Amino acid sequence: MLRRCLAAFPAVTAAVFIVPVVIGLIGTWLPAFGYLPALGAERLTWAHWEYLLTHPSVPTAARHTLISAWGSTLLSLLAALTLLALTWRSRTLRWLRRSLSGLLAIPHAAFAIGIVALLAPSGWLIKLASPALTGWELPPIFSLVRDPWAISLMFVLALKETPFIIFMTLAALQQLQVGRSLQMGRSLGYTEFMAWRRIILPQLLPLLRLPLFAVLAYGVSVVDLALIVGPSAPSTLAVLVDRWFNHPDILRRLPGSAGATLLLVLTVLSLGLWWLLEKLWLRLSRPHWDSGQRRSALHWLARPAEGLSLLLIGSALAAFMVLVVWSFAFRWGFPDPLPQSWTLRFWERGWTRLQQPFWLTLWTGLAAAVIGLVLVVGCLEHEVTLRRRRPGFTGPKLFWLIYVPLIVPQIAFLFGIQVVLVWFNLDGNWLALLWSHLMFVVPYLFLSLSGPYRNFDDRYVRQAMLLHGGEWCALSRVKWPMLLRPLCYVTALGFAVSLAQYLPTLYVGSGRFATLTTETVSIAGGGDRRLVGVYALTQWLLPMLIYSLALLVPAWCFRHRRGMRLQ
Amino acid sequence: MTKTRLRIIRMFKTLRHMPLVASLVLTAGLPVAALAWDDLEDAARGQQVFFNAWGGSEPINDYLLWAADEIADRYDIVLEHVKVGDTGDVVSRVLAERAAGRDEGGSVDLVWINGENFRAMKEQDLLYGPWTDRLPHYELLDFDNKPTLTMDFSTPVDNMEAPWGMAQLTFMYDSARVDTLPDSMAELLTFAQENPGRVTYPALPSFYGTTFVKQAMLELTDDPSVFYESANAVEDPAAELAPLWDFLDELHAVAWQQGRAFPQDAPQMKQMLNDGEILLSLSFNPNDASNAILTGELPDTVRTYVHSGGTIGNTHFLAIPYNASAPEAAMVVANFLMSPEAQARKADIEIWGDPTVLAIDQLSRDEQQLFDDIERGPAGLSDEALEAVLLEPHATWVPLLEDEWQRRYAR
Amino acid sequence: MALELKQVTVRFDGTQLFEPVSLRVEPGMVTTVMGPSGCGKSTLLAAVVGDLAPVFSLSGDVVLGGQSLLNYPMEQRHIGLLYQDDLLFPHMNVGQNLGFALSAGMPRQERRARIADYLALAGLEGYADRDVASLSGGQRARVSLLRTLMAAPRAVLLDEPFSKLDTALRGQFRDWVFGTLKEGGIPALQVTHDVEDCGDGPVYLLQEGRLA
Repeated sequence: MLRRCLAAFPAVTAAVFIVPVVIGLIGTWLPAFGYLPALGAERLTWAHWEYLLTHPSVPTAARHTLISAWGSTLLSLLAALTLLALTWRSRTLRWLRRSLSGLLAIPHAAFAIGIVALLAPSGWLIKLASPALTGWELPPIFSLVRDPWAISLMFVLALKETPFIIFMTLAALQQLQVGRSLQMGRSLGYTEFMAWRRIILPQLLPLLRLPLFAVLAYGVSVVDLALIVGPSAPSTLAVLVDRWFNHPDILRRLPGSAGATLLLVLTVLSLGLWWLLEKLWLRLSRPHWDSGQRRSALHWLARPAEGLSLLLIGSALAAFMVLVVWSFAFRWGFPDPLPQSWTLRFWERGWTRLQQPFWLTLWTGLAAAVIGLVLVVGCLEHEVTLRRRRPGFTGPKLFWLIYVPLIVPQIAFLFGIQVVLVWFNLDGNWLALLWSHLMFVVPYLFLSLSGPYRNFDDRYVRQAMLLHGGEWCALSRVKWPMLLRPLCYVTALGFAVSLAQYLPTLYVGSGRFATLTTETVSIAGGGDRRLVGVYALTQWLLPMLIYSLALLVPAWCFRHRRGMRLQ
Repeated sequence: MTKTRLRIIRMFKTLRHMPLVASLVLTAGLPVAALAWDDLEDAARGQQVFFNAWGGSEPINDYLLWAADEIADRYDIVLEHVKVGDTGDVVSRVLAERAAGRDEGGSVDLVWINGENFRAMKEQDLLYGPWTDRLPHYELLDFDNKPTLTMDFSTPVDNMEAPWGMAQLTFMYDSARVDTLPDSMAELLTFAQENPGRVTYPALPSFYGTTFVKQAMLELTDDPSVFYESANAVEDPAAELAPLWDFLDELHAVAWQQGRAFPQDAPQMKQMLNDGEILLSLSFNPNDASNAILTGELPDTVRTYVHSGGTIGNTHFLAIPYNASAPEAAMVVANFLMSPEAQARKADIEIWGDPTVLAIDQLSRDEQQLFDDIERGPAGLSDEALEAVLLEPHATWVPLLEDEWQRRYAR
Repeated sequence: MALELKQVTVRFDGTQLFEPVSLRVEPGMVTTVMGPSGCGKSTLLAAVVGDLAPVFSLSGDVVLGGQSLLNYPMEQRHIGLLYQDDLLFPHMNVGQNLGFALSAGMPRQERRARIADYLALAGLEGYADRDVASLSGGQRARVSLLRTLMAAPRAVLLDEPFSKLDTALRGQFRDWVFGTLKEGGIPALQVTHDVEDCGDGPVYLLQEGRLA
């Protein structure tokens, strides 16, 4: 009975999340070819593509997009891997692991605002050094942020994504039983670093493919971060397209749709290229696996890797601190190292102003995370049945579809979805909002839970069934409690994903739902950093709280169970 | 409104379709227009108005909270401020609703709008109206001295949107850092050359940036009248714009980041002014600086100025989408926001500092007192300085400016 | 109550894994099937306990106490299975692990008394509140068998249960297990590849798909 119920999960999950994306895409593709009857455009034409492809800003904007997306993906992968390889078993790693949840909880907009307040020509760093060290009475005229090559955007994206890649790598490593492989490698005389390169990496990369796809796709389509730290003349392609969708000249939505489609094409091409490169790397490096080389010339990387992890945690911490200082400032000019006068009024006001959004965000996030968890656990449990039926089975092909919302740029289907929702009178409805969040929560949950869940030793379940009968009992009293740690953790992750949704909340909610994120983004538009500090910190602290709970609850439950501790 | 009056209105409401009663009312000398408005206020009772307005400024959000309280008390209407980042989002939403065939019961009841967004919605028949002449406070508007009340960026308003506040391109500077001020675009260039890296303006198509460029365009030509005609009617529009591009080329060479990067909008420039990254910032609200000084956002040495040849001025409005769920209540809200009381509070620099659209000399003595009581801010401008207002050039020039600007500076 | 295998064989993809097996396990006796790894011993046990993956097809009959088991799902056969890994639930203490095998309706007092009795049986008095992670390998193995017995199985299957224990412990534990099973009069079927593990019960050899 239970098993038969489970069989429905994958189909339902996929249908609920894919059908709207497809409809949304069609609703974007038709305008791209000139069909949008609401504007009186009913003739199919290439004109909007022509406009797009001959637009003076598009080539550079596309270059910005590719540099920042590819650069940040490669950098964050490199950073995560070097960090893990060089700090494996060391104290640094344990330290990093502990701070990981804090890093994952960072809402990217808040992080970017903090980084700008830190690194801008008039940022905190230069304020602290001026005029005593630099002699500057005015901020310097060179700028580390918003550079015309999108390098700063790339770095901020990379900093933001590295914790996620580390998190996903740790999950994948557990699957690979790294400890044993490394021991073996070392017993054969390989340095630990070489053992990583020759033994672990070739197995690891395929496992990281999906998370990296998500990171790459995010880099191509990100709007808010690009607005805050990206170049401005022109901006990235996603920003350009977003502007057309909001352009006063309504007809710009037609080339806008073409632009959104181009973003999708760029994403798909990027993912394809990534896949090819991965294959190529494996093919090219295969002859070296048994070359017998046991030491690597790359050993000197150990130090920089430690530096990198410090930089990672340090920059998050510093971004956090600068927001804290700003939120209590009344007057803060250049080059004062600290505000001239302080005030509590922005917290007092922010607190009353944010109460409603706070509760809405909390309930929506929790609901999305819990429903998402039920759906994902249902799918994964069903997979167990399937795997028994067909050994060697790794999950139905259908599951790939769940990742579609992560990979398709949001702008490319949200307008279409909005039209459909309005059609069915579902816009501005909390359930519709919840569903739109689930669209993004479910794939992330799937991505992060499937590793630990698939790794679970199924014999525990068989044993429990033999001892007590009843599959439900075996799952609810043995399997899920044993998986409590990852279950709690991914619930917190799901919560953070729901919290971060900006465009879906705006489009699907018809502007009727104010969440911490929509409030922060709209207040960020006013540029008052003291208020932005208050909002961004609240938006940061809430997921941090949830993450801490997700760590503490299992830790407390199993405080007397050594076997349940993190290895 | 008293209970008896209410009861009378209800009575008339039930009877109004009877011609006999109507004629009786007329003969009894009751003003029909006023009755119609009261009737409308009555219909608006209990309705909810979703007011979509930019939510980036705390003073403005606070002001709207105050307005919502007042409106709830007086008219039994729930005013919800839907905070938007970009009015374009609202236009998109109304558009999506029309695409889906929802011609009534839309999600937007009232929208803060002007310029190109207004033109687009008007041209696409996305607006309700005409309606503004039905508002009792319509008569108090200062049409004589404020031509932008009827002409929004060269698009006739045609009573499709209600004036809410006045705007004028104003420059800010920190008097602790700047002594001599530029009085024209030509002097601005000299100023920038003397202070390399310290002058900039927002990137187009941000409307702050577009206005700055339009200001330059109007100042740098010998004959500004060309720009008040449709660009399509001008023989060689590119030739007319040549001096502008020469000017911008020279300016960018010495501008912030050498013109390879620009701020997003005016709020960001305000930050940069506070930080000393740039020496001049701009705003559409002459009282913006004063308000920012009071809230601590800018140092108290900040002052404002305008070019003596005049700067571009315009008006911002309130419009009702064609499919609004509660157009009656939206009108009542608009009428309240145009009341002397609401306008005076809005003009107060300690609250917001947005200049009024009303003709103050037409108000009652008490009402005038409300405006007289407002203190001039530390960075306020004299009325004389603000009198030199340039009208927005014809709207057809805007796409030309934006496209060419992007071709030259954003590629 | 005896456990009987009648002409039992398992097919995978149409291929027969071993010749039909027929044997009878008497109550209290440990019957051993020996064979090299990969000969299908574990599959045979899975067939008996009812845990064959759907890709395998079973023919023949498994009879316990004169009743065919084939129509019952795994959880209703009341057969215990011990692996080489003890599979103690790490999130429960020793008492909870044992209590898991008791039926839900039992009053708390009786539950606790029963657990204490069983622990005493294994020389683990007072261990009920201990974390399983704190036990030694031998203790874990004993708790694991106790847990299996706690569910009052009608038969017990042993899948190389001693192979992970070190030699010193191994003989001791084996004698204890066999003794306990004998006392309970429970039929037990063991598969192993190690001659040492055979008790004094009958021993069969599963080699090249044939039982001898």
